[in-house]
Amino acid sequence: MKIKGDLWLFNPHCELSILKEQQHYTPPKMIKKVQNDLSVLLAWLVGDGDSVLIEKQVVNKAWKELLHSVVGIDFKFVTSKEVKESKIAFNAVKSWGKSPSLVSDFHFLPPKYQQFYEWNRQLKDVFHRQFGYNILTYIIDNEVNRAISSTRIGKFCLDYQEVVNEIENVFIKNSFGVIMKLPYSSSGRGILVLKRNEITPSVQKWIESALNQQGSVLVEPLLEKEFDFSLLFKKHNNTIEFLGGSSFLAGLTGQYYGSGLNTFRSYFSDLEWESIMKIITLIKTKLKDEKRLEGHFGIDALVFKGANGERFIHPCVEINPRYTMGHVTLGLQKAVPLHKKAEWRIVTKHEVTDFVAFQKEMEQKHPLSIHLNKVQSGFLPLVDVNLVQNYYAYLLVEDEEI
Amino acid sequence: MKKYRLKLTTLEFRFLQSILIRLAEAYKNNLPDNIAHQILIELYESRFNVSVVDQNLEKTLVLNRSVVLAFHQFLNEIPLSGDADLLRNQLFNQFDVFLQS
Repeated sequence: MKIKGDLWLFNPHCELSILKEQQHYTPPKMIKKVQNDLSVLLAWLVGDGDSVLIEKQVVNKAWKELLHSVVGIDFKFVTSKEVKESKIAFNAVKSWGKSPSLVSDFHFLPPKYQQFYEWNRQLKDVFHRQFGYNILTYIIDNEVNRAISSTRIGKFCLDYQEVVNEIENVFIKNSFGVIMKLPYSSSGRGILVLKRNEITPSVQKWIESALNQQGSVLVEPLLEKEFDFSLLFKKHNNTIEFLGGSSFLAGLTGQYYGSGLNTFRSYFSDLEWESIMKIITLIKTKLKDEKRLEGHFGIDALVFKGANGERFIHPCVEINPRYTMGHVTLGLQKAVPLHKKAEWRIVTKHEVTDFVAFQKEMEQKHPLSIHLNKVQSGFLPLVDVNLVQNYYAYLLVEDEEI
Repeated sequence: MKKYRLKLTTLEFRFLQSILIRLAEAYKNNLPDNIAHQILIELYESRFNVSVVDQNLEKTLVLNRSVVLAFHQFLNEIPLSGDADLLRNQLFNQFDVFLQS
């Protein structure tokens, strides 16, 4: 029996499985596609000797070698079949996020590993929007400069009439719009945006169905967003480490499109940066004794424009108590010189019809240059183009310096 | 099997028409391997392949569950921004409610 490092699983369906509280959870097809195509991104999170679980065994050798040369550590891609048949032993088992369905996700492992993915029912509360909302109100109570005021944050409503009244209230104060969120939501689901104060029959149905399923709805003013960013942390017992931040591109309801590298600080003025530092300290203070939260987590935040055009910080739109694409961004940042302008993107089949042709074209246009385990410039595919169907990811490092 | 009555304003109709045109164009030279895409291309050809839509016209489409599922999946995966993202959000949520009922 060969002893390896840790085994890693990319389970982007963790939130959906938590909501359903099902051990044998079958993710929707669209989430399954994300999992199959983007599992290899975990290569940017793993440690020396670790293995990343993937669906198909035949990863292109040249691409894998290229990836190894920039990740800078020894890791492997393995399939569940391979793990089972070769009886590979691991030190520990890790996942993108904890969830009740890890039991079935890791069905191929012997029972001795169950200690690593046993589901604790109390964790469900950490994934509830109220948990992030409490962090937000704590930050606001501590009066951080340039942070959102308490009059501009949302309210949890428990019945239909309360939701309707709150929508009305928000529109009186904020004509830009209203955003309604379910306590548990992921992958663009469970979020409804209203730009007009009009409850159409379909909006009414949505609210009723939301209250029926999850018991409450968070009604918030829609903010005029300047940019999204996330603050990335790691918690071990009572110690929280701030790992870094990243600004990212996202759709209206949170679909992740990619992120810039090495430029996080430049998005903020000196005054705003002081506030960010204070927010980080407050987050650490608030969460250090929180026993239900352990491991990596990310806090999504944003900078928005107020009525007079001045900028404000919304310091906690939501907390993701798991690894996030922000953590992947920090991993990628290690492979790029600090002074180089770079970005990584996830693109879908709808943007790029032919991934193979796209890769060829980009490789010609932006030739790759690697020196001292870092991408000095050029285009690096972050996935094996022959194995992906719907999602493709790449890193592009420009010649230009910051 | 319960069917879904999708009421569309002119704007929503045009939005769906524009994203379905792009989908159909992507498969101009090859057949879709994705069943959801195949269903949507068929729908585009039968109901959306028209050049003129009256202003202020409400259109109602009666869709079966597989078409709603295909739309739900498709709307979730296309990258959009601004007003198009907003329209996507509204329609996606309508389908979401139906699929959960």
